[in-house]
Amino acid sequence: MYKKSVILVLTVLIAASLAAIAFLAPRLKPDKHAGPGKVAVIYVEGLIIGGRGQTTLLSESGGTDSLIRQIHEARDDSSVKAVVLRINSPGGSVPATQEVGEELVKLKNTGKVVVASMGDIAASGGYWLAALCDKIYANHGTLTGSIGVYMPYSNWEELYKKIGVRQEKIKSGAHKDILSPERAMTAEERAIIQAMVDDMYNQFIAVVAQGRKMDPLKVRQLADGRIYTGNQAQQVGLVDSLGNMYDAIEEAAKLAGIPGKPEVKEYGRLSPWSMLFGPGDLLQLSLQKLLPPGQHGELPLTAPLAMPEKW
Amino acid sequence: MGNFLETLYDVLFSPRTAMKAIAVDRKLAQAFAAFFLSVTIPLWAMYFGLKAAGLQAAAYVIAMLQFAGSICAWFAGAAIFGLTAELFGGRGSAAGLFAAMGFAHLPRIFAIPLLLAAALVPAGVRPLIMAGTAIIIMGWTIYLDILAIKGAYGVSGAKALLVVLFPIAALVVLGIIVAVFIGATVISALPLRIF
Repeated sequence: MYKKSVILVLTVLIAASLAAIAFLAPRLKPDKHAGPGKVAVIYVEGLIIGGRGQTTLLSESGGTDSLIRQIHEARDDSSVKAVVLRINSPGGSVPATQEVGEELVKLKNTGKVVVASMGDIAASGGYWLAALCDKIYANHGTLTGSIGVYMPYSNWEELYKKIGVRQEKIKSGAHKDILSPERAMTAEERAIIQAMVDDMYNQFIAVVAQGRKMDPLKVRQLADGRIYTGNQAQQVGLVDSLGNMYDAIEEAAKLAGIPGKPEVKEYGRLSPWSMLFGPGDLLQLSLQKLLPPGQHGELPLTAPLAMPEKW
Repeated sequence: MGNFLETLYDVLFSPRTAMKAIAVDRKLAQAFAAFFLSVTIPLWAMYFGLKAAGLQAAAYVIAMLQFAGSICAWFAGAAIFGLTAELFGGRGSAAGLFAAMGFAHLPRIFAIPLLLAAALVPAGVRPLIMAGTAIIIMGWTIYLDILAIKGAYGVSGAKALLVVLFPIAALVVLGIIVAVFIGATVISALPLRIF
């Protein structure tokens, strides 16, 4: 009887502990809306392409949906006073870049400082995002610029003839198979595509001119699609300062009025969990480098591109 | 039920005699009940913790993995320890060891009050208490495993300890060998890059 009583007492103790944990656990969650000012670091790595990317058990990576979510979280976190956008991207699709850009604008509208820090490369769509920031830091040898838009098109007509392939199509409209690789583009189609590219280019120019507070005509002169080093970009006004990510963090803290060394909050950092449960952005980039030429950087033809095909 | 509660009491307060008695009597049904309670009750605490951390979706997966892993560890552990005990000269029943090892999971239940205590202390001390809890529970479980091997195979305490350590040491050596081979393969596959 004594033994049973002891076990019953222990059972009650454990049950009470479990109930207390259930009650206390939500209240023990660290209050992310409290504390001193923090500088958030959000990484833009690889191709900027819309979608959810890789979602694993405890992390998500790739695709702009997770990037937008991170910016959204930084916006909602009142302890984050400034954000450093660490860009290491050759660009991507215009709509995906615009989506991220819109979220950056919303973030800035809350009064938070946003500083861009360019890594190896921040070109085209990568520069688009940087241009939306309050200040841009680049390294001396960073590859940036490439302000422009292009849509790739291959004509495989002659190849198809050689191998005896003839594709027939029943289409609902004259331009339904625009950009089809098995036939030459007509003059009318070229004009349609050119108008689209021009429209996106004008949007890009407007973003850069507004973000950099530059004359649109001057931006057009710089925006012939060429790439610049960080040094050159600073000389022509596309970059504010030369420095690494920590210089950008310090500047962001200074602009946000955070005294002393700021506390840094990293978003989307590769954790042991993410490395265990799925490839992160860095691994994807490595994979792209390993792929044979022509197999990487392949985006859907329907997506307008704001990036060079190869680097 | 009464007999089960008394066995639980004995495992907690007179583990030497209790583990031997469980192994000799091969109390498999009670072992399954003890194992099920020992694994599922702490899972609830873990679920509440992960839910509070915003990882509710992961909580289900982790709970399933934890449960499946514990079952595998129980079955495989009993088989490996039984085999190793026989290699060390022990003679006994694998079913008896299996039953006793089911009860050896019992300390996991006590992680709940200890975790509650950890939750109530200041945040700075919390990781230390959590780590201490994990070490206490692990040490207690291993101690019960040793007693289970001792009781089931009639080996000395030192041999029972060796039985537990031997497969772990073998795994560590195997892990080192695999790591060396993987490392050598990765290094040899790296292209030479000059920028």
